[in-house]
Amino acid sequence: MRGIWRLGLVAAVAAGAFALAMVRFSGAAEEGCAQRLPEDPSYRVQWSQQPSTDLTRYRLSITREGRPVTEAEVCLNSYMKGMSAMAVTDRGREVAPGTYEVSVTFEMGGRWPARVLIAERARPVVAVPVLLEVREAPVPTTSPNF
Amino acid sequence: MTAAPTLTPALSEDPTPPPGASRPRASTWAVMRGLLLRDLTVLDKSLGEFLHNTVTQPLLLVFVFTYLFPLIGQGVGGSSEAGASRFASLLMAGLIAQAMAFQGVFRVAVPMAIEIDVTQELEGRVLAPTSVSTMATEKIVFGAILSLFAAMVVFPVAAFLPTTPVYLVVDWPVLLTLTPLACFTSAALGLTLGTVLKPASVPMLSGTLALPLAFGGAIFYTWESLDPVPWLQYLVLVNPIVYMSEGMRAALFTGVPHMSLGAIYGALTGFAVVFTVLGQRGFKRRVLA
Repeated sequence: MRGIWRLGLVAAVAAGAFALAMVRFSGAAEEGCAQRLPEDPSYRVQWSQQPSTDLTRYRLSITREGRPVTEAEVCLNSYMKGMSAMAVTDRGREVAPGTYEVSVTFEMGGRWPARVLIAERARPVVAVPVLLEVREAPVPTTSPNF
Repeated sequence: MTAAPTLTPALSEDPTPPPGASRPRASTWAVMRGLLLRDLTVLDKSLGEFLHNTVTQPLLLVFVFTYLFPLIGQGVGGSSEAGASRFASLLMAGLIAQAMAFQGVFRVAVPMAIEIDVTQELEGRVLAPTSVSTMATEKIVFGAILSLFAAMVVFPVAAFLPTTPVYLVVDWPVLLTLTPLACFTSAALGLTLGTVLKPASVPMLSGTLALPLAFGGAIFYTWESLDPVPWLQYLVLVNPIVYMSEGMRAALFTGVPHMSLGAIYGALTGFAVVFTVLGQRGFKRRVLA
């Protein structure tokens, strides 16, 4: 083994760097609402209006077994189907009991699979999958103003 | 009449033990360990070159795509941080797959082509008291170890370099089973290629094999995003790197589309078996010729 001590040293350094990387990664997913969470079918998420490329604010009504979910931490995470790197995320602010507002801009019309992460007090954090059909808003036509 | 003693037991696939003596299973492991130690010692002598080859590519790709581009206003993933982070995450999974695949393939194929045809080192090594299959398997195991090391190096690069956060959520059972399988598959492909290639054609390897494997390997995009180009989506299924990239996405991220785990494990296991069989056959053919 004496012949490979440098290799052993490099492997040990790499293992240490790997461990440090995992520590650094550990909190990031939570910040980005990207945790691996179980889905709970008892929750329902209803959008105030159909998502569209010309809107930036939406209200989500969240219920569990028919009752409004209040004082919860809510986070929306969505990506456009077929587009590798088009995504939106935002944390919801409760504007009325069981109603949360998120500010996101969908850059293209189409299908946007989404996950709404819901953390209620004294309950496990869950994810609710939602498939959004984002409407492509017509581009406003303006006459050239010379 | 007794059989004539042989000086080159490895030249026969299953050397017959002397009468009354059983061939202990441990000896195969001892030989394997010795061969691995020998290869690692050689690697230790060229450690600088090995590290350079292993670190440079992921470092540069992560630097350009996830550090430089966002800083100069060319960030991939749109104007939102969520998009940029998503791309950084997609890229990281692809880079791990690429690192595993290339390290496994090149670290086995290139030295083997040279050892068989130029230095003829393997002719000496087949004198070892073991089967040719064991030697071929050792080559795969050695390549898989280097491949695993290359995969490990990508994690700190992706953790500390990008300007956008990478949302990594490890599924440990998948990561710990898929990574060795992907490393083994890569090294087995390397063995297959190493026994087919002539040393003169080694420089062609990067242009004719590595580039198509990389750009068609779902490294920079997900396999699902090829939906609008169905012919390409099905064509790339012959590329093992696709399953490695998709597997890493399944193991490391959530909310990112990927193939089903059954398809990933099934395809990689199939590739591993096929490449191992082809590699073993090619190895025997070349060294016993």
